[in-house]
Amino acid sequence: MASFLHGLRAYAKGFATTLGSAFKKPITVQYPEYKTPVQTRFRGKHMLMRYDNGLERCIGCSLCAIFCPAQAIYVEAAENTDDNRRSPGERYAERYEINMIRCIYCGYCQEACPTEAIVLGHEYAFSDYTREALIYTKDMLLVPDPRKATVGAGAD
Amino acid sequence: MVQEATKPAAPPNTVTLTIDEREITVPKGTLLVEAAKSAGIDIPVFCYEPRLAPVGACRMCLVEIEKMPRLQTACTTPVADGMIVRTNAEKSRAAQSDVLGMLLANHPLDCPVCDKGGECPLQDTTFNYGPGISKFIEPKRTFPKPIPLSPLIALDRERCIMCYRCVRFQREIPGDEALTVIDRGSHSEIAVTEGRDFDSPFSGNTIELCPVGALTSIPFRFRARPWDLTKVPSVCDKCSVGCNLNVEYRNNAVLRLTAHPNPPVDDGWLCDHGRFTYDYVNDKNRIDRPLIRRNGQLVPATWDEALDLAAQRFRDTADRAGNDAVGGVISARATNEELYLFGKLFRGALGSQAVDHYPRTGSAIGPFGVDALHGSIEALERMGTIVLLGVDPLKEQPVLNLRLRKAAKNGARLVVVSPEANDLDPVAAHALRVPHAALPTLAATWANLIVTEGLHDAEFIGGRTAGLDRARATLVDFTVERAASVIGLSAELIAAVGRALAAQGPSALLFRRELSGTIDHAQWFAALNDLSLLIGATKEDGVFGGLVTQNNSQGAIDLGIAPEGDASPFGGKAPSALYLLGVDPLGDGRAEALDGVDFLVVQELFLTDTARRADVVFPAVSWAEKEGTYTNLERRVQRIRPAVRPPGEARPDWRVIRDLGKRLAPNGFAFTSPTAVWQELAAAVPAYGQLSYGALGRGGQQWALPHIGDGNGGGRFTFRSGDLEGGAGR
Ligand code: SF4
Ligand code: SF4
Ligand code: SF4
Ligand code: SF4
Ligand code: FES
Repeated sequence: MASFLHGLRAYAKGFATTLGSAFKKPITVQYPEYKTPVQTRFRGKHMLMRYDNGLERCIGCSLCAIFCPAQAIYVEAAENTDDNRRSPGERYAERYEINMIRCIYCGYCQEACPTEAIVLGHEYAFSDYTREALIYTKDMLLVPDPRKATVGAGAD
Repeated sequence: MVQEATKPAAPPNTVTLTIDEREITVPKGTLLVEAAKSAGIDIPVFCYEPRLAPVGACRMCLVEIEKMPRLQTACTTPVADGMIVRTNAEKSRAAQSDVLGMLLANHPLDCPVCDKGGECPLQDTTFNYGPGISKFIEPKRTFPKPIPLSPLIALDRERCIMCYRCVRFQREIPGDEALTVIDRGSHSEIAVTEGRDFDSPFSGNTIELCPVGALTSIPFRFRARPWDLTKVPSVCDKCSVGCNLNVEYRNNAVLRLTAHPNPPVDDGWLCDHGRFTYDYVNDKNRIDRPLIRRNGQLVPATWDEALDLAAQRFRDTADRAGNDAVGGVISARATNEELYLFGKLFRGALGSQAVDHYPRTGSAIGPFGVDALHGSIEALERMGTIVLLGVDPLKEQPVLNLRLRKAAKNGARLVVVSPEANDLDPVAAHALRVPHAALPTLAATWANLIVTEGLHDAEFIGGRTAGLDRARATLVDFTVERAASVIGLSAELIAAVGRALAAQGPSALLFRRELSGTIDHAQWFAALNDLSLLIGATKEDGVFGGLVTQNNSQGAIDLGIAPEGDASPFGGKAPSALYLLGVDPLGDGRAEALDGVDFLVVQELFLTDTARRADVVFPAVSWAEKEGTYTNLERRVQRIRPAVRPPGEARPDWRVIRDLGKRLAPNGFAFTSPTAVWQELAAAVPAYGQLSYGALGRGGQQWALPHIGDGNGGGRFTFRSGDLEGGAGR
């Protein structure tokens, strides 16, 4: 008998919680129509930044790559010339790739970068169907040139 | 080595001192920095480099020495008995940190973009001894960023710390004034001497010597960070010296070659030809699959098709036209294993004698009865006299040239006899311009002069040689006066140099095997043989030999990859079916070698002119892609290791020869690796049988010459001029 009453009390408590919650404002959102804002220091998809004058910040030094605990980054450098200037100074990244499914989003690359070129942004929805498609190349990571009005591919 | 000085009396010629509370005994005259190193105590240095004379330019090595008022540079101070040295006390530590602070005052923050970053002594020393924070806030001295010193080397003047290693290397080692210092104080710069180009054939060594990123390789510029590279120790295949190097690659591409010091061979140097010739390995145009000729066109084929076709046609030709109608020529740059298999394929599987190597090394059987160098490269350093007859090592064995310069610096009298100006002339005691045609006469004349004047070591000649009297009968006609009229030099000069050769002390005789023009080579070798005995070059401590040119010419000689008589597929009667491995007669202007060849198999890296004419083309692999051994000019067998994968379907050359062998012989070709081939080879070639395969990969090993004239009842060296027909030559 006592246990029956005990059971009943548990039911009542449970339904009360449910009922109570049913009229509260939900904290989930209808993704993907709605998205919750992320924190400012959220670490999502990487971006390769530029200076205001449009030059790339990345100097192809590979320090991000050697720091990366997941070995997700691949860099090949080349030399700037007067006709083909990509970054200030002598050196730029000719190839820059991040394997997004290897990455653990630790942010060490951002930490290591001497020029604040690689930055983890707020974008997180980039699932895809193949592994190859998730190896992001430089053109997919590089932010658009701020001097060019059109918003091109790259920023996301 | 470290010796705890518990023993009372140190041996003579040593000095006992205390460094950082440790007693150390080292030979007299040792520099403090070396004494510390031998005890495992690290004194930071920049300008000091053991192979260069110390200058004390950078002050990095300051140490405290008791009873000395000021700090001293460990790289210029020799040890003294009872010295008490501190490298890690407050004063020395402060000095180390201050010196680094000064060096860094003008040093740019280039590490992330600098090719030296990651293997930079300045980085490492700053990390270990540096001040940690920068006190210098003034603007740094700047220069326009790198300027090319040559097509191979870039100079970044901002990074230079003025250690002068580059300038000192060029002046002291190859003896070249191409680099210099201009301006003074903090404005000093390294520059190319006015009116000169930095075109030294050894310039690449300065890149490795530079302790910062001031001198960097242009071909390697920004190609990879050092930590991205995988290093595989191997051996240079560009000449017969066989310098050791690291093949450094990333993503299956060879990106640079760096020295892997093997002091007895290379003293840690490389020549530029060896260091910078690697692009062809990565070339996209390499042959990457077998090709066979169908309807007049070379078209891709499978390995089985190509091998079957080649084997079938070789067999048919041998059956139809005789075994010797199938010939083969293999490059003298192939490994010993490939040479052995190639020889076995022709002599064993096909029963053909028409097998040769190219370029063919003329035989030069010395007093030891074998065709190989007596002595060693390193032994040259200890010579009293070195005679060079017709050789120009700078062109053919570049790093050997550095050893000869070192010998001269150590006090050897160099006698350079060559038809043209020779790089060694300036360091030679005597430099004579003599045409090839007159060299045999000159050698015989000197031999005659030495016996006539009794300048030879009578004990050695009497006790360990035979046949001098017979030889004299031939030599006697070679008077100085006659030589003078043949050669066009004064009799006094010829006599004076001849007498100089006979001076006591270990002596070396290095000569050119094949002289151009119509030469009586028998007379040439007889004269060389006799001269070498008379000047003592065949003694235990001497050096004697005809310098070979290709990285494995010596291996081809040792394994006997040459026909008996004139059955050579090159030069002799052309075979009907010919297999060329790494040989391009059309490219070398020897088109006649292919006359009469109906079936041609070519194994090559690229589609050469010869390969375009072939009926079957096998892709070959480069030295950076294969395993095996090379024998250098001093009989040293050294191992090469594969670094990168060959392109496409290309297979190691030994496998291709083996697979042909399997198709042509019922057995004997069941090898599974180059090591297995080595084992059979070592069993077949007695000289190689004594070698330890393990040692071949760790600096290599010289196979031993037979003992002759060792005074223990063994045979004697024989004078040979007496054997010449017609007695008194020309
Ligand atoms: S976030 Fe971390 S794991 Fe991802 S690329 Fe950067 S360093 Fe590598
Ligand atoms: S992103 Fe930064 S750390 Fe990475 S290569 Fe570019 S500059 Fe170097
Ligand atoms: S360029 Fe390099 S090796 Fe030459 S002086 Fe400067 S730092 Fe020394
Ligand atoms: S001397 Fe010969 S073996 Fe040495 S690096 Fe030069 S080419 Fe290579
Ligand atoms: S290492 Fe001694 S002064 Fe440079």
